[in-house]
Amino acid sequence: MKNCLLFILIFTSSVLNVSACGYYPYGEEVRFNLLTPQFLGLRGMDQFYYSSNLFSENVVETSQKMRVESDENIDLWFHYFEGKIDKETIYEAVYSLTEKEFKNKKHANKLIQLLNQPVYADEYKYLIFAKKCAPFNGDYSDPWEIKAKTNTNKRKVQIKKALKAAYIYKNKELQRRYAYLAIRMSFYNNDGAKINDIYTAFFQKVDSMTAIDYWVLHFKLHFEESSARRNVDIARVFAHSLEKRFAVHFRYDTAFSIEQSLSKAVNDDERADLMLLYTSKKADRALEYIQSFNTYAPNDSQLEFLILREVNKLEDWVLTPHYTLFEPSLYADSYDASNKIMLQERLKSDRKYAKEIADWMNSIEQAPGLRNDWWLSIKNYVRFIANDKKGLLQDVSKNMSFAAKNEKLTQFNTMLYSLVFFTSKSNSNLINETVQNSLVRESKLHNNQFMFAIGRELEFKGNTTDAALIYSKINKYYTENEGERTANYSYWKADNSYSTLSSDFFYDYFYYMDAQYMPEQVSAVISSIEKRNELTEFDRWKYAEIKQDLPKIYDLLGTKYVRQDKLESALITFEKVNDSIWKSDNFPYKFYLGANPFYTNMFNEHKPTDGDTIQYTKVDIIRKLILYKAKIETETGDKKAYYNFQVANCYLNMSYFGNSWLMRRYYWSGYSGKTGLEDEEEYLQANMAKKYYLQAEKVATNEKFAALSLRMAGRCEEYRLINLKNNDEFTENNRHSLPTENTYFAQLKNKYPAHYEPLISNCYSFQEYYKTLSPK
Amino acid sequence: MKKKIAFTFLILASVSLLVFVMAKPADFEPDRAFYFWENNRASLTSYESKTLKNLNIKKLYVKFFEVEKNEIRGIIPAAKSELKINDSHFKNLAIVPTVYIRNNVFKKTSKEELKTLAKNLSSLIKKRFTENFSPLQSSFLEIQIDCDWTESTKENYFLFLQYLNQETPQIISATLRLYAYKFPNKMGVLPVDRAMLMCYNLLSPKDAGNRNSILDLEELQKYIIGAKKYPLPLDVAIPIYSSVHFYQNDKFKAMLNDEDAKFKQKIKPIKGLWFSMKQDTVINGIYIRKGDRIKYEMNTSKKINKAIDIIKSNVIFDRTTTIAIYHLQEVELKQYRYEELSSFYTHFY
Repeated sequence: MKNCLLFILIFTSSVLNVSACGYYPYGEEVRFNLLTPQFLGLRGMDQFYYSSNLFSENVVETSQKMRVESDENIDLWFHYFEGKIDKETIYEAVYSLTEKEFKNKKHANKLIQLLNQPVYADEYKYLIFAKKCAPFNGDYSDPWEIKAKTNTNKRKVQIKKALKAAYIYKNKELQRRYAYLAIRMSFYNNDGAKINDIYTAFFQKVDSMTAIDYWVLHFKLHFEESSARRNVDIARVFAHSLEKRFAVHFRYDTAFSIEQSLSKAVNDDERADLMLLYTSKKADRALEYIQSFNTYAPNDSQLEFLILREVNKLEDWVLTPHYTLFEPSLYADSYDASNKIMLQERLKSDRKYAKEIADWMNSIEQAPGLRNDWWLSIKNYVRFIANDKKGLLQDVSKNMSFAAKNEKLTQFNTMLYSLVFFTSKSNSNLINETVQNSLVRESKLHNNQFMFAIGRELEFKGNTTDAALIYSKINKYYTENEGERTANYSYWKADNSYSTLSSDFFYDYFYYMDAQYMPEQVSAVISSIEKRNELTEFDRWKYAEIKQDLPKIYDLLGTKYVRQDKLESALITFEKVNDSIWKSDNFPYKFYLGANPFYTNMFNEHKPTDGDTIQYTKVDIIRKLILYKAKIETETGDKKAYYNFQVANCYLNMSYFGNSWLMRRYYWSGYSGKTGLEDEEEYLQANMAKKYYLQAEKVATNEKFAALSLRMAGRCEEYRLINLKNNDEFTENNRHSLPTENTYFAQLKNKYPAHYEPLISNCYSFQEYYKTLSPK
Repeated sequence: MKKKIAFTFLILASVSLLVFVMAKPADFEPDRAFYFWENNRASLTSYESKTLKNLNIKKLYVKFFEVEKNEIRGIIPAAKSELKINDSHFKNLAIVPTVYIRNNVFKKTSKEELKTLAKNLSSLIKKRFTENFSPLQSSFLEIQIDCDWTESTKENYFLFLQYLNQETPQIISATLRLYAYKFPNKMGVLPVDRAMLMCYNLLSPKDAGNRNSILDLEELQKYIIGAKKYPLPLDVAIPIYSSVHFYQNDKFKAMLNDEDAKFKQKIKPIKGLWFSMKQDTVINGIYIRKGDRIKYEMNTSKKINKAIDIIKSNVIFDRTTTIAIYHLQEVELKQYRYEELSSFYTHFY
C-alpha cells in the first residue's frame, strides 16, 4: 500500500474536476438563478443585473447587429441621413474605416459614396475631423503620461479647430457635433472651465435632449462639485445614455440621501431617472423605489429590468438557501445556537417580502409598456418564491397556453410549472409529461440548477430514488475558460453534518448518496435501475448515465453494509459488482486494495508489509472475514486465538489506520476530518479490532501470542484515546503509549512483564511473536 | 540555583537596558508624519487639515499611484491618486510621493524593463507632484516605494531600486515588513537610503481567526524582539485604522469600510472582536443581514501605546527617524482624541 497523504477516489468519468481540497464554491457559483437576464432579453443594463460580484458579468450575448442597433451615435447619423443609409454601413464608415480608406472616393461603402456628393461636403469634413481627433481620447496608450504634455497641446489645437468650425457652421447638428468633440478633448485635457464655456454656448438651451446632450452632460458633471442636484443630472445621463451609463453611475454620491436628491429633481421624468439609478444599485429590498419609479414613469419598460433585479434578489435570498442550503445556509452547526432560528426567520421575512412584490405586480399587470405575458409569468414565479401556493399551478398552466408562441417564455413557464407541480401534496414523482419535457430540454442546455431544484423537490417529498436519478444528470458538462469556471455548476449542502470527500458540500450524486442515503435508499435506486424499461425518451434520458454506474452503486451499497457490520449483506452486494472492476485499470480498487487486510504489525498503517503477497477484492475480503469469524465459533484454544487475531487485523485494516480503509470510505486524508457517518466511531477508534484482539488474548495458550494480542489491543486503544480528545491528528506525538494512560499496555506490563519491553520498545519484535502461532 | 537565576536576570536586565539605551538617542524627537492612501479624493477635509496642523505634522506620505503588471499592456500605473494640495498654509509640510508596486511586477522581468520602470515611475511622480502639489515643490526630497517583495523577486526589486536611485535626485526610502526586518539574511537589505518599518497588517485578515490582523502584539513581539540592528536608518509606521470583516457561516466574505458613522450602532458584541448585525443594512454595496457575523478590528490607544513600547525598546532609531501614522482619514481620526493622537508620537520620546 502506498504511503500517500491523500487518497481521493475518482469514480465519475471526466466531469469531476472539482478537487475535494482547497476549493469552496461561493458567490455566483452558488447563487440560485433560474430567471436569468437572457430570458427577458433586455438591453443596456448588463452590468446592473443582480450579482454577488461587484458588477454583473451576466452580459446578454450581443451580436454585431445588436451592437450596431444599440449604438447611439450610429442611430443619430441614421436619422440625420433620413434612413437613406443602413446602420451597418454607417457603423463601418464611422468606426471601422481608417481616414485613408474613408478618403477613398471609390470605396464601396454607401455612406462614403453619399458623402462624396457636394451637398454633404460639410458632413464629410466633419467625419474626417472626428477621425483625426479619435487618437486623443484618454491616456490609454500613454499610461505613464510621457506624451501627456504633447497630447495636451495637440488637443488644444484640435479644440480650437473644432470650436472654430462649430461657430462657422450654420447646420445646428454639425455645430453641436464639433462642439461635442471640443468638450470631449477638453475633458481629456482636464479643462473643466473650457467645458463649461462650450456647454453654455452650445448645449445649455435645448428643446429636447439627444444622445449628444447626455454625453456632454456626462463630461460636464465630472468637473462639478458633488451635490444632490448633481446626483439628479447623473441619473439623467444614466437613464438616457447607453454609452455613458456605466461610467456615470460611479459619480453618484451616496452621501446625499435619495430624499435629498429627489428634492432637487424638477419633474417626474427626472424623479423617475433618479429612481432608476438608485434602484439599479440597491443591494437590499427596493420595492418602494420600484413603485415610485412606476408612479413617476408608468409607461417605462425599464420596470421589467427593475423587477427582474428584485426577483433575482429573491431567488438568492430564498431559493439559494431553500434548495442548496448554501449561504445564507440553514446548517445547524453554526457559530450561534440561535442562528438557525434567525436564518429561518429571515427566510420567512423574505418570503413575506416576495408576497408583497407579487401583490403589487398583480395590481399593475395591465400597465402599458410592459410585456403582459412575461409580467404574469414573473408574478407567478414570485408567488412560488413567496410559497403562495393557492391556485398557483392552475395560474401557471393558464399562462402557459396563453404565451405558447414565445419560445423563451414557454421555456421559462415550463420550468416554473415543473417546480410548482411539486408544491401539490400528491405530486411526488416524475410522471408528469411537462415536467419530463422540461427536464430533458434543460438537461441539453446544461441547466444544472433547474435539474437540481427538481431533484431537491423530489427529495423533499421523500422520493429519494427519483432524486438520485436526477442528481445523476447534473454537473456532467464542464469547461474551463482561462482557469475560470464557465459552466453553470450546481453545488449543494445537506441539513446535517454527514459528509464525504472532506467537504460539507456536494456536486456529485454518488458522493451525495455516500454521505446521505441509507442502505435502503441506495437499494431502491438499484432496484429502479434494474427494473427500468426505457420505453419512453424520458426513461432513456433518466437512466442514461446512472445505469452505467450500477456496479459502483452496488459497491456503495456493499460499503454501507460494511459500515453497519452486516457482512452477509455486504458479501451478496459486492458479489453483484462486475468482477472486472476490481482489477480494472480504470478503477482504483486494484491500487488501493493491493494489500493484505489480514496482516498488520504493531505500527504499520499504510506502508507495504511482508503480508502483501496476495491481492484481494472486496468480495474476497468479506468472504474471508465471514469464514474466519465462523472459525472463531468452531475452533478452540490457540487456533481460536489465531482466527480472532486475523479478524482483528482485518477490522483494524478496514479502519482509518489500515491498508483497507476503502472498505468503509471513498476518501482518505492525513487529517481524518469528521464525516458524521454511522461507523465514524468504529472507523476512527478500531473498537471491533480491539474486541477481537482481546478475545485472542483471552483464549491463547501461547503466552507470547497472548501478549502480542494485548499489545495490539493497546494499539487500538491509542486510537480511541486520541479520537476521544477530538484530535484529528493521529501523529506519534498524540499517541497514548504509557501504561498510565493505556489500560491495555498496563495489563501487558502486569500480566506479561517479560514481554512488555520487547513489544513496546522493539520495532522488530513483531515477527518473533507473530510466528509463534502460525496456522497449523 | 537561586543565585544562577538571579544572575541570569541581572544579565537580561542589563541587556534590556542596553537595548533601550541603544534604541533611543538622546533628545530624540522624531518627525511626525501621516500616510494618505486614498485614490478618489481630490482634497483633504477640513478636519484632516486641522489635524495635520494641530499635530505639527511634517510629512505626508501620499500614495501617488500603484504599479501593476498587465498581460496586454505590460507594467503600468494604476489607481492614481487625485489628491491636490494648493494651500499655501501647508508650506511646512513635506509631501513624500509613495508608490505601491505589486510583487508580480518583478517576476520574470528583464533588466531593461526594470530600467524603463524606474524611468517611467520617476517621471510620473515628478509630473504629478508638479500638477498636484506645486506650492510644496520645495519639500520634494524623498520618494518612497512600497512592495511586499519575496525571496524570488528580491533580486529584481533591489535592482529596480538601484535604477530608481540613479534616475532621481530625491532620497529613496522603501517600506520594510517585519519579516524582512527580522530576517535580512534571507530577504536582503534594501538598497535604499532609509526604510520604513511597517508595524501593522501583521496577519492575513482571512487567517487571523480571533486575532486582530492589523495589530497583534504577540505577533509584533515575535518579529521585533531579538532582531539584529537593521543596517539602514529606520522610520516607523503604526496603525490607527480599523477594519470590518464580513462573515457568513464562519466564512470570510468581504472587507467593509465602516464609513457609516452609525455603523457601531448597528452591531452588537458577541465575543472579543466578533459582533453580529442588529439589523439589515447595506455597506459598500453588500447587503448584510441581521445576524450576520462581523469581525471589527479596532485598536485602542492603550494597545497602540503598548506596541510603541515594544517598538521603542527594541528598534534602534536615530535623530532622523520619522514616525508615521497610517492613515489620514477623518472617520479614523475621530476614533481618537487629539491628546491620544499626539501621544502616539510623544510616546516614542
